[in-house]
Formats: sequence, C-alpha cells, structure tokens
Amino acid sequence: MGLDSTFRWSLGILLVVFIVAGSSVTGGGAGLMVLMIMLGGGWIWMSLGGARTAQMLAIITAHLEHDPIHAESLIAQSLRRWPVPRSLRLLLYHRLAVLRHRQQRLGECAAICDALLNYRLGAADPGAAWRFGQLRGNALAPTTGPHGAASSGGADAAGAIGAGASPSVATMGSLRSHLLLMLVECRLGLNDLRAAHAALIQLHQGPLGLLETLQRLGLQTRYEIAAGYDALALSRLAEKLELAAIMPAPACAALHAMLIGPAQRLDKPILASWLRRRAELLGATV
Amino acid sequence: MSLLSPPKPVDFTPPSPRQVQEHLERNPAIGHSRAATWAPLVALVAAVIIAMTAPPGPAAMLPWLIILGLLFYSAARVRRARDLEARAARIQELALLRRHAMSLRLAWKLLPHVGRNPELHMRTVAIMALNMDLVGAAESSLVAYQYLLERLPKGHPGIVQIQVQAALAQLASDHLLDADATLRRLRDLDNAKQSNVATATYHLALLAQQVCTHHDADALPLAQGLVQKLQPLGVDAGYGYALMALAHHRVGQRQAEDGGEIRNHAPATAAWWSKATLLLPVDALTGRYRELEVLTADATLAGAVQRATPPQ
Repeated sequence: MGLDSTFRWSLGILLVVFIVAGSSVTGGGAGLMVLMIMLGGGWIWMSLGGARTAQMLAIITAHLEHDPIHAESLIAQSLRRWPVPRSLRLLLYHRLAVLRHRQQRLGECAAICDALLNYRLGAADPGAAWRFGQLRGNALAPTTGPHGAASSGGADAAGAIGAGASPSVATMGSLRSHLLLMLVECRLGLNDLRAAHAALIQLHQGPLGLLETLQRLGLQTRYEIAAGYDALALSRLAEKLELAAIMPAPACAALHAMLIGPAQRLDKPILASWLRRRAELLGATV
Repeated sequence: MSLLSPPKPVDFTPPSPRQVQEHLERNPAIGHSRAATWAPLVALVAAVIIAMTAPPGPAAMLPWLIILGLLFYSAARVRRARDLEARAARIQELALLRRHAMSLRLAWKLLPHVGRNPELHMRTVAIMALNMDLVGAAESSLVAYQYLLERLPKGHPGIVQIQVQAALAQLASDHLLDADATLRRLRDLDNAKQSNVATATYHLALLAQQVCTHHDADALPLAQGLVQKLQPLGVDAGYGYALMALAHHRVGQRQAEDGGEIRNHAPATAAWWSKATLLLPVDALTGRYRELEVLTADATLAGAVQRATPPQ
C-alpha cells in the first residue's frame, strides 16, 4: 500500500516539476517534451488501472454473497495488480475481510480488520453500510417492507413537502466502522472478550449510521451476555427492542432469543416468557 | 414516542398523483455528463500544452491556474456526490424509523439534484413511492412504482419487491383488478424455494387481497404455514396475523348471521389477534388497516390482546 502511494506521489510531483520547468525555460527542447509526455502517459496508465480495479471491485462485491470462490480469485487477481490507488487497495482488503467473515474464518478476518484499522481510513467508501446491509440479506432497504402506519395532514402538498428540515450529513457509513463491527463479531466468535470490548469502545467513539447502530446493538448485547453482565443486557430494554424491530428478521429474532437467558438468570419469568413467545414467532430456534 | 406507533399527525398533505407525475417528468434521470467526465482531462492536456509553448512571463501562470481550478472542481464534485449520498442515506433512515412524512419531504426535495446519478435517482423514487404508500397516498405511490417498473432494467433484483409493493398500493387504493393482475404475474413466488422479504410481502398481499375484497372464507386456507411465510417481515408479520384474525372474525360473524353451519371461529380469531398484538401495538395495526378497528371494538377479544412492549 505504501509503495502504491509513493509511486503515485512521485509521478505527480515529477509531472508538476516538469510543468514548472517547461513554463520557465524558453524552447524547452524535445527531450523535456518527451519526458513530459511519458510522465503524462504514466499518470493516465495508472488512472486507467485504478478505474479497472474499481470496476472489478463492484464485480467482487456482487459475487461475495453468491459465488465466494469466484470473488476470492478476483480479489487475489486485483491485489496482484500494481499500482492501485491506496483507497482502492484498502477496499479490496476490506472485501477480503468480508469474504473471510462469510466463510467463518474468524481469525483471518480479525487479522485483516486489525491490520486495516491501523491505516487512516475515514469515509473511504461512502455508502458501504448501505451496500453491505443489502449483502447481508438485510431487509432494511425502504423498498423491502410493508411496515409503517399512516399519518394525516391538511396543508398544501407542495408547500408541505418543501418545508422539510435539512438532513444531517453525519450518518454516512464508513469503512472504519464496518471493519470495527466485523472485528467485534470475530473476536466474540473467538471468545476473545477483551479485544471485543476494545473494538466496541472504538465503535462508541465515532458517529454511526442507523444500520451500524443496529449492528452494534446486537454485538454489544452479545458481548454483555458473554461477559456475564445480564442486568446491563436487559437495561433500556424497550428502547433496544424498538431498534430491534427495524433490524432484519433473523437479527431481530436472535436478539430476542439472546435476552431470554439473562431474564431467566435475573429471575424475571414473565419477561423471559414474553421474549420467548416473540422470539419463536419471529423465527428463532429457542 | 414509540417507533412502532404511528407518528403524531404533522401539517402535511401527501402529493397528488398528478403532482408526482409532474415532479418525475420535471426531474428525470439524465445520467452522467460526458463533457463533465472528459473536461478535467482536456483541461490538463491544455495546461501541459500551454506550459510547453507559452513564453516566460504572465502567461506562464496560466497552467497553474488551470491546475488549481481543476483541483477545486474535483474536490467540489466529490463533496457534492458525498453530500447527495448522505442525504439519501438520511432519507432511508427516516423511512426505516417510520418517519414517512419527513422522509417523503426530503426525498421530494432531493430528486431534482440526483438526475446525474441514475442509481441514486431510482433509489430516491423508490423511497418516495414507499413513503407515499405509507402516509395514505397509495394512488400517488402507484405513479412512482409505475415509473420505476418502466425504467428498471429487466432482471433487476428490486423489480419483484417493487411489483409486490405496487400490488399492496393497488389494493389500498381500490384498484382491485390491477392488484389481481399484478399478483397473478407474481405467482412464481408461490413456489419460491427460499423465503425472503419479497415472497413474504407477496403472501401478505395475497392475504390482504382476500380480506380487502371480503373473500374472507378464501383467506382462511392461507393460514397454512402463514407464520413461516411471513417471518422474513419481522415484526411487520403482525399485519398479516391481524388480517387473518379479521378474516376469521368476519367468517364467524357471517355464519352466525346466516344461521347455517356454525364453526366456532372465536379461538382462531383470538389466537391470530394475540400473535399480531404481540408483535405490533394495536394503534399501529389499525393505523395501517382501518378494517381492524372492528377487532379492537370486540370486547371478547380484549383478553387476547398482548403487549408489544416488554413487561416490567
């Protein structure tokens, strides 16, 4: 990844230097022109390579769910390519982590996530949460559920529609938070509660979108139960279950099923029974 | 305020079908501009040529100004794309949180800005359609669903879901023949090996069709495996269970009125109503299907009502 960046920056700096030289020397000469053309060509070649990798990334993302073997070979092929823009290489490794996660190779997935989290990531892949929400069989896309109740009103339609508040921009899913979510899940799967806790703390430090908040809720509850914090798992239960209601059905059912144990251990039979009935109705095997 | 309860009425009137049609016509998806894609490269080549040919002096500054302009232009394009994505994500989140009126307002405002991004454009129209359906403007939502179905490429994974949603909107707006035709086209979903949100919504639509058309006796056989069929909908499966309770209730009443062969439908009504209210509050159920108010008015069903919120 460092080599990619160094090469790209060097090429960019050389191009600028030659433009400066070309603009300050009269009749710069054929040699200078050839060098500039070569550098420009190199820049375009690199950009085209990046574009090809970006196209490949979209194909990999599409194959992750249905054809993981093909996705793996495409990832390997893309990672061998050089030079690739840093952000694209990060995304390729991210897809590799997702693949390992799907294959339940949790140790490898955690190692990739750990390594990637050492880089400065930011919102390298805006919309990652949305796309991966869909990849994970998420029923959260607004076109995928008949949920909701009607509201009524009385003002003129166009005027009323035009009077909406401006949206918050702080709800973007970032690559970092998605990696942290996968890391927590892998660490919990590996029974490494200390590392899971550390990753959860990091997840609480940045803004999260709604989908990521839902995923964090599930993972945090799982962590709390695994660590023996039953009372904590059952705290703010109504609020948690409201959020669970907008999770995909399997996740919603799993959260209900998870909470039965703490309710029983804390001697709350009515709550345990209520959770069990809902979990069964939602499809969880209790 | 509970997420599952209908939001408080706000000063809002959903758009009419004509307004939706005009809004969509005024703001179509026009795709990426080739000029905008190639302009930076052309400008860069121009900067290089000027740098090589211009004499020293003020003209030598021109390539720098072009490069500076390119940097600002690229940064602005990236920022704008991210801002639009963030707005679309926010609108989707509001729809998920059942703030449909607010989500619809923001989607309506976003649409004129996403014409250059067809994927985002279609997503915004889809959110508008769903929101309109759920704020009681099913007729208007049909315009948006039709727009999507005409433009989405064949084989697009979202088409089936949109068709099922359209069928529900057709039922809600009393386009019963259209709904029937739409559901007939989706018959393959009956034999789907895997249950998913689309197949579950289809089964819900089949049930709603029978109940909306008062073919309650025809709805009763759909109870077979209904819980498993609707499970992908999560707590929204409660709408289906409530409709099944209503079908049993009406059949029981009709049989009592006719004085013919009487099968006691009260236990089945209570069982389905119990399932429905365990997943969704009563006001959410009646907010979506007003016909269900008859069940809330029935005192014999009071004991069947469950809590949709956790007991203390």
